[in-house]
Amino acid sequence: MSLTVQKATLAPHTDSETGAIAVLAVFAGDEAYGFPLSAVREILMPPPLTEVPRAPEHLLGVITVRGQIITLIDLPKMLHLEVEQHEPYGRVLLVDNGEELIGVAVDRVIQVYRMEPDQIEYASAMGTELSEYVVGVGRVPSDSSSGREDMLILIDPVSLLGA
Amino acid sequence: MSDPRDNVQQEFLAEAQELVEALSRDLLLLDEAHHRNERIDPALINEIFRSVHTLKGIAGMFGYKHVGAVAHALEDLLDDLRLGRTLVGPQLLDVLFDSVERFQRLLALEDPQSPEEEPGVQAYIADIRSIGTEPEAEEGDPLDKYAIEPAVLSVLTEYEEHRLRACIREGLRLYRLRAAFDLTAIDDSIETLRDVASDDAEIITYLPSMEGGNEDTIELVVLLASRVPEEELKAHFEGRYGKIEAVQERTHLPTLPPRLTSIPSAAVSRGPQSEEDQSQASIRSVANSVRVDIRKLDHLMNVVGELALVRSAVDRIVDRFKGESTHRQSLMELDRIGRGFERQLSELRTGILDVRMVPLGQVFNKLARIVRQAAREHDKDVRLVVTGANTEVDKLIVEELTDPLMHLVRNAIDHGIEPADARTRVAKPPEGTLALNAYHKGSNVVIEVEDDGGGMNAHKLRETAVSRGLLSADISHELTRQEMLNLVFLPGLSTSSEITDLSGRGVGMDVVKTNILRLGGMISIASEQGIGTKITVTLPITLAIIRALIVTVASRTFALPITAVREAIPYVPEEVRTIQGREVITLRGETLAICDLADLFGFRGSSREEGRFVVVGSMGNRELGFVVDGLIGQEDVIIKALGKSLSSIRGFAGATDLGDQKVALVLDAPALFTEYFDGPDALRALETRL
Amino acid sequence: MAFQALIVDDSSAVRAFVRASLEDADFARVQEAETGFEALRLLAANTFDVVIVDVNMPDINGLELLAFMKKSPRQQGARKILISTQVDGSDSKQGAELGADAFLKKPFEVDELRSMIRDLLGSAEEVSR
Repeated sequence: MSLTVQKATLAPHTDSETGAIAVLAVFAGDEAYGFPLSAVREILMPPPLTEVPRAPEHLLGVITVRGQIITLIDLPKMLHLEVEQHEPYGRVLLVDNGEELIGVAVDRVIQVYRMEPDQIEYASAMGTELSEYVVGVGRVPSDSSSGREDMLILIDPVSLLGA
Repeated sequence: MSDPRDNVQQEFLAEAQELVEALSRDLLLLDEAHHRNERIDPALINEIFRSVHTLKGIAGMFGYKHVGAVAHALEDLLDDLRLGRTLVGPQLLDVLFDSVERFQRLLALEDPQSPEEEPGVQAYIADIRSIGTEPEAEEGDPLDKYAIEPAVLSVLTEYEEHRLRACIREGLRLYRLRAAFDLTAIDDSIETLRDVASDDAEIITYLPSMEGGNEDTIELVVLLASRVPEEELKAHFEGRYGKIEAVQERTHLPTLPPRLTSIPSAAVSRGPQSEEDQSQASIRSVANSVRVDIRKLDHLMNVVGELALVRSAVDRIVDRFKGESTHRQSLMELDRIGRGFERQLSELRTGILDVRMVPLGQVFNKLARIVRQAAREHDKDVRLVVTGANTEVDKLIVEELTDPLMHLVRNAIDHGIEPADARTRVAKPPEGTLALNAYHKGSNVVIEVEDDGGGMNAHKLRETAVSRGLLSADISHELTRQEMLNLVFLPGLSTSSEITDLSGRGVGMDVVKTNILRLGGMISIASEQGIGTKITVTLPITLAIIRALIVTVASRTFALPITAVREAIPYVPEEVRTIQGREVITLRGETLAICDLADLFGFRGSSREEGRFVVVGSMGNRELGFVVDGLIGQEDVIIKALGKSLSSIRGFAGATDLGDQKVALVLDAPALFTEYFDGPDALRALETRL
Repeated sequence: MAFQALIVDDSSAVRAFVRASLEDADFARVQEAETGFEALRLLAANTFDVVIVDVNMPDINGLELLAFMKKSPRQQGARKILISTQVDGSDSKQGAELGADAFLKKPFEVDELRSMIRDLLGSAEEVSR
């Protein structure tokens, strides 16, 4: 059995008393992802993209937001998931990774969930290889009526640094 | 976004850095005064003490154990020095100079508590402690002469008391100046008072009194010591300030209050005779300045860019209504307002750029230390002459400039200036001269490093280049003298056959050149054998704004810094030949290597039609033609760093916002040159050029 | 309610440290003075609950400021803390005679400063009762 070291974390974003966390859920390439709401600075209509030659595939290029040059990343590609993101993507999240703002291209924004600690299954427990970026999986009710659950891949914003 | 403590940590490092810089500057002044056998200004020693004392205090609070320990030992030594218990001498100066680099290294440690540093720190502290003290000659307390109230003595620190005694011993008289100061302008008034006093008197301390003060004013009693007769002093101060009176001399022996304090403290203005007005000004300017994170300035620059966009949007609306006679009056008015806005905006932009400027003196002070150290190591006499230390350049440039200049200075002393006996033999003064000159020239800053040493041997350079296989013998004979000198910038070539500690350190002139080119600068060399060498570095004043040629490649927009562009010519596919696998054209009879940016960046589907251009780039003495699809024009662009993930990608110096949310990548010309020429077949490329 | 504090020290790092320690969780509102002159200006126009003074400053030292506050009607209610880097009792003695309420030795910790202020203000309330 191999042990995966838990690197990604949401700890800085959780409520210190209850451990609950507000998560912004988005769709990108038919997969749902969750970002800690406190790290998302803005949701934008995609500005014109300038690609950067020689950059790795998951770095789409740069955009400018109020004069600031921001790197735009493709989430599924960064996670090496075998899915194509819909083009053109629908929204850009400006995520604060603690050092700079990073743009994340997504198809659309779903909603904000408040997640309790017991709704999160940590990647370390699942033994996946994604722990560098992914904290784990969060379960949220899919529709209020059906009672089914959807899964959100929870992303640690700090891991987007130097992604 | 971040823990407030982190900011405090930053504050600590910034202040510690400033203190070490101030220490370094003051030590040079001390060294100079000692060297010339001049009277050493007590205020200078006190300033040095204060820097170390403050550093000790804050190092302790922020967990920089080693910095704290070293500062503590130095503080004791400096306290002895300022209280006259030990004297300035070569050993003491050496120990003090050592501290500067030591502090810088210890401050840069990832783990400020690192046990690995322990032995080195302890050994250094033992060195400090080995400097002994000399007992002060006691000949009765000179303070007994005066009737000074115990209330006054009780608030004096040990140092102030020491200065008081020293002044009396030197035959100065004590005076009390009583003056009311406007609280809102007190700093300026004190500054003026200090200037007035500096010629005639030493200020011992300022005592705030409660009499005659209110919310707006305060009365200070200033205790002065002076040699000037009472009447003259009165004429000087009274009228401008309040009343001045001599402190009464005693008629009988007093009983002094017991000594209350042993607090090492500081105070006092720069004393009389301080001739270095410039250094005083810089010390003062520290107190009157604020530290600003350069990122905050970048942010302001972004805002300026935004405002320019707003302005052009308004212009477009104005344009739309032009020709409609109904709004003529309003449009004209709007047009005038727009122009006013434009003026203010450019003022704002200039203002922000101005804030980024720092004097080159910051680097020169570091260099002065290197000069002193290198001269001592090599037992050479070197006089340093500095001009233009006030010349200002962008802060980022200053930071990047230190290493290359340091290397040039080391080289000048190591290889340039001859030992005293060799100089005497050729009828040169035994003391060599190294000049650092800085001045503005158009939108550039020029820095010269000039020595009156032996000069460079151009033929020896050529031979070495050939023997190291950097140059073919055939070509070498066609070189002009200047071209031979320029060989010194080739990678893998050094003028001296033996590598000394000084010129070694793994950095050669090629690295110096690369560093200067990276800053958008140029470096040139002039040397006459037997007379000396002058290296001239030319830099743009600021990095933030560059003039660029905007080009298109495969429908993408790029900016090429104009400093790297010589000209642009039409591209004629029929004229392209291939030599040793590289495409070349002939330009005015010379072979020019060309490089298609579309190929280099892997763009497919770029038009191979006519109507393309070759932008001839030039870096130092190399030229390379970049093939592009279109030329848009020249523009001043604000260059911005790419984010962390993209910063490691080769070939781009940053990006710039062209307005309307369009971004152009700024090409890193030096990197592209290096990539093209310094590949595995760099040698062949060199021969192609020649 | 947050109390009013003044830190007088020529080191910006120390001022920032004190500010960060005291303004955390709205413990205090802190004003800063870099020089004795600046301190005089603030002391003439404001009333402080706590004044923290470094003994060792150029021109006007901490002792001189203490002597001033002792005479100033406006600052009679202020608790005064003297910072110094020395351990021996002599500056404590000199400071105590000039009205210092407590002494803080550099380097000091956040908690040390906060608990010292808590103690001082507690005793101030007792006095006023």
